[in-house]
Amino acid sequence: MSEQWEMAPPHTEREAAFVAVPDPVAAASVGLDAPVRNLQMLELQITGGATEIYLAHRPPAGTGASFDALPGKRDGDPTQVSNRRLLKEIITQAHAAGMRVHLCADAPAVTAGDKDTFLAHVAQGIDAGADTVVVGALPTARWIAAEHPGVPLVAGTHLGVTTVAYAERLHEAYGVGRIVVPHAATLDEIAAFCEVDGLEVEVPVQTGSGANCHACKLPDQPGSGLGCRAGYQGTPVPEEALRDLGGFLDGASDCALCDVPSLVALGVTALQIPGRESPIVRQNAKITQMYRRALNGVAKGWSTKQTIADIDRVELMWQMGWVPRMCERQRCRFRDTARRRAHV
Amino acid sequence: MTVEVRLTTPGRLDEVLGLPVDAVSIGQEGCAAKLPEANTLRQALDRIRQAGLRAGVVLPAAWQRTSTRLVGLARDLAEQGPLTMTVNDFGTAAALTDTGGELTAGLALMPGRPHDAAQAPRGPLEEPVFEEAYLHELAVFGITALESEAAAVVPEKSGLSVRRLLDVTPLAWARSCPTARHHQLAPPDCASACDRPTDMVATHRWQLGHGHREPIPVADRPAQLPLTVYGNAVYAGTPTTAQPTGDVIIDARFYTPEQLAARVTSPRRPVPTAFQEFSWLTSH
Repeated sequence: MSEQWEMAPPHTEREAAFVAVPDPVAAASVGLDAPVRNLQMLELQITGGATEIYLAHRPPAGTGASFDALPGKRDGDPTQVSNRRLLKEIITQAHAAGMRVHLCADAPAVTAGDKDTFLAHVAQGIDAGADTVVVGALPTARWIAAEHPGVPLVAGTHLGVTTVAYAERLHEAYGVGRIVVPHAATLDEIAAFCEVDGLEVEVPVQTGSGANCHACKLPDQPGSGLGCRAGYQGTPVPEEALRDLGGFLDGASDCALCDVPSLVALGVTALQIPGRESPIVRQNAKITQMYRRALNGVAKGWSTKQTIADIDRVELMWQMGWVPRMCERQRCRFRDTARRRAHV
Repeated sequence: MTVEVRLTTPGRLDEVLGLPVDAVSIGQEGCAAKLPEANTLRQALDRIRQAGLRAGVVLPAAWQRTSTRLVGLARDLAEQGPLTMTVNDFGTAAALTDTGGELTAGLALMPGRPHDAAQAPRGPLEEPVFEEAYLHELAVFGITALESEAAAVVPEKSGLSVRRLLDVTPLAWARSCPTARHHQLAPPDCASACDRPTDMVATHRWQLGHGHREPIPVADRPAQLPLTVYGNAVYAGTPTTAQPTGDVIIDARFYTPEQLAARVTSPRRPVPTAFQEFSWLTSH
């Protein structure tokens, strides 16, 4: 028996009802959507078992704003495909490997002055062969739907689809075919999204600060970077000493590995691996591989305990990285942890 | 010009009803657990109406778990009398379009900001810009008024009211409430823990690939903004120095009773007097 399996806390009372053992066949239909920004990442993600990729390409020179959900670089590492020729090459090779390609045009806002440039940028991606476009703002969803009526839209996390009512509105009025749920969505909520007819549901895994990323003005700050990951000190008041508040805003609940069977049973369309900005692309692809192993375990009819034991046996990263950083710190995405008990 | 005071709960309603204000709203953008019970809200809103003031309820951004309750509550309250309903998510807006009450886009629906095309940092206090296209989308949801931080850029649009929040700027909200975590409580038992703010400033950063928090470079430390956390919401003190010309909102949490009494009259007074009285907010 794997000790790590025993570390996983039980589910919350509300979510326990949505924990299920899926039909093994269903696992084959769940996609793994992985980030790519160059050919090396693509090759690694294919090896890791991804079935879909998402990517963004660099806006034209002279454009001040990014046209997707990340700046051009984060902590020094690029987040976007560097040029149009490479974009086409990546998409062509991804299609040759049977993968679906999502083009990220999910900027939280695009100014009126940038509208034409933005639409030309999106058109380049579609011409290069992208299968869908990920949107991050209502106006851009409307523009792209009007300009490219045949191209399916994906509501990215910046749209903040926290309720079924919003998802239905996006589906009916904007032609959105897939939503990426916020990383703080719960199993019972994901189940409700999966009940919406004609809507694909993508669930981010292995990420999450517990914050509402769709309404945050604290990313990429001078010196401190991501506000949710920064360390804080209490501002002194007369009668108190300085207090180290640590990662006060960081409510990270990342790992969903133990709950992959339930997500399959709920009928999610894809699991999203984070990391367009990842500085260590092999490690990023290894995360994809871990979730591939979890899906394969479901397909074989294994219990989660059995899948974890198998991972434990063959993956060095499991004991070296995953267990100390996830299991021992209870950074469970869908379990009854202190961080998740504080969910509003 | 109208002056609206925002209360998180009716706890200070007696105090506020004695002030020269035009409207009182109850609620906040982030937490359904902090919203008062329906009966408490009904009674408070009735008292506001009886005082001849515009009554409002601020519905926190809904998650699927809380959406049905919030929509039901808003519909129930709207049946009691004239009501301004401030929504902070589009799902709730979509569900309340037909209620007949005034639907207002709350502070959590301020438009997002694009990231830099390269990697230049973005100051948290860069003002949001409401593009015409975004205002059109709000209108599609039946929204006829919006709330914004004081410095927001909002084009003139016929039929759209703009209410600006004075002296503070909301910066972020979280589903995993930092205040509840800090006090090792869980909703709804944490509901009073957020009556007292946590004031803090960033001292460490976390970088991709490093895997740990490290001290912020000395040169960048002066740029760190003092933050105030109430519950699951993060704010920065930003004293409004310009004389407001339109409708304003004053969040009572950031003022003592004496300060609030002075502040509700200050928007109608000359700027220097008003600003000097509230310069304490710069150190909040």
